[in-house]
Amino acid sequence: MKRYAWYHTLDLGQGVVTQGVFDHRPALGHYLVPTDLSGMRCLDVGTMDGFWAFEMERRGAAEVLAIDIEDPEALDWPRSLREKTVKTLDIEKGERFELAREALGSSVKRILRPVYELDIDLGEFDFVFCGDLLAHLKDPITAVENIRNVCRGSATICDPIVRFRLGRRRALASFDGIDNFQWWALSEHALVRMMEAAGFTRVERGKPFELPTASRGSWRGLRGIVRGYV
Amino acid sequence: MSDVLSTLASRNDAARRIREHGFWYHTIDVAPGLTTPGWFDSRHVVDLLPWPEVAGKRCLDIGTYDGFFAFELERRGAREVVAIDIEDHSLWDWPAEARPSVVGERDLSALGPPKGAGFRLLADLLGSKVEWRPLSIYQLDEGTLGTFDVVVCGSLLLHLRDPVGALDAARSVCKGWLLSSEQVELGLSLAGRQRPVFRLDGSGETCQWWLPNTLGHERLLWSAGFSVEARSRLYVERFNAHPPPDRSLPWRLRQAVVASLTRDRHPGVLHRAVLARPRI
Repeated sequence: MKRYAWYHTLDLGQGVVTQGVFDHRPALGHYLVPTDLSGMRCLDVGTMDGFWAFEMERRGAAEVLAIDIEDPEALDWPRSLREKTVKTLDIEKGERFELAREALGSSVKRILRPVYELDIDLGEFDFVFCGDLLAHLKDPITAVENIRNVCRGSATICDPIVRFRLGRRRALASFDGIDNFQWWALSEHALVRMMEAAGFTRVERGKPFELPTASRGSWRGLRGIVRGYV
Repeated sequence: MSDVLSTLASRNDAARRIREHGFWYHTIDVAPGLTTPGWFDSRHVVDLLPWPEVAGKRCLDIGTYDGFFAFELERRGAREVVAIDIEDHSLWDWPAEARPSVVGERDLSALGPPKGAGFRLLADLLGSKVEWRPLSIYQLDEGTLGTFDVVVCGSLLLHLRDPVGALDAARSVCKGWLLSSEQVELGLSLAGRQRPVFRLDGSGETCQWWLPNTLGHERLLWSAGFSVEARSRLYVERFNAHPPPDRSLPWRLRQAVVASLTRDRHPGVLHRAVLARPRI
């Protein structure tokens, strides 16, 4: 357990808690994830160590699929970062997920599949969760469209957001793609717009929140949360 | 001017063919007094762009539509010009609400005959040797078309879901210069000079996605592996057959700012062009 650098803080039972970069537990109430997922078929997109996949299973999901990619070279690295970034966090995520899955006695199924290739061959899902992924994608629009395409109920997307002085209610994005592993930094309304553009007929906004400062790393900070209904 | 138009009869025939073509995007002079009634008029823009050396070069025009920039490259003495576009209007990066499966094929007929038809008609009338290929920017690669000394891409990136991926593909065939002319947001350009910012649209029949401020346009190019070497001033892609603006008060205020920035009082779309070269 200690051998790995964990991405998620996971409570594996019997007092074992992984020391993740992100601890979502104190913020659970902010995420627009139904407390009761009984009987539902769920998908976790970009699962990493599996926190949300295991959480959806815990909330009663009939079946949970988790997709991710393992080859760090397949990530949308900005060119300047591709060489110099330490990729252990990505290389070992499959091992960490499996370790956690065994410890939890979980039956979540993890599949290697980039969100860009997410398709209906995996079936349709009553609920889809995608957290902290869009910011790392060159093409988040295709990702959201693919999520919409496999969704037959609703989908919740959570991502870092920025607030613009120029217009809080506008769909804006600042663009990096150079210095940080981040492409489009969306405003809350841009996140909503992206859901609408992908064809969700109704989009619900959660209250933006700060991931608790207990988390390590530079990726804590303001999160926007939206739930789209087909 | 080609021999095709050397007689009055052939000239009348050309005028008829231009008239009968359902939709013109570009305003292009075919002969004195004979011009396509395009939605946009870019003729004055030619002198404002930061052109690289074109004479004797192998050139590519991406998203050529009726061929305005392709024919201009040829006129400037390019050794060879290839023009690409997607033929089928249903293959644009439509947002969900405007997809052909939602709005129906008939609505796309407002965009005219398949792209390439207007181009071929003009190529015939102008006696042009530009080669037209049905290809999307996303599909560009060295194996298909080879490489180019000069690549031109005008008013296209805003219509793409994935402009970074598209520019990556463009860079893969660009061995010299990229001339990139794009729509820019007025307010975001003035207020956000220090920050690359985009407005996300993703709705409706104009099929627009990421609309940059001037710095956003440059940053996009940089992250796709280009460095920006020269910039044009702001200019207007003028409306011609394009439906006129509503002339509401906000529009008139905005228009006054655009006119003072561009020294151009014509209604149209604010643009800026940059000349870039692959940096990797």
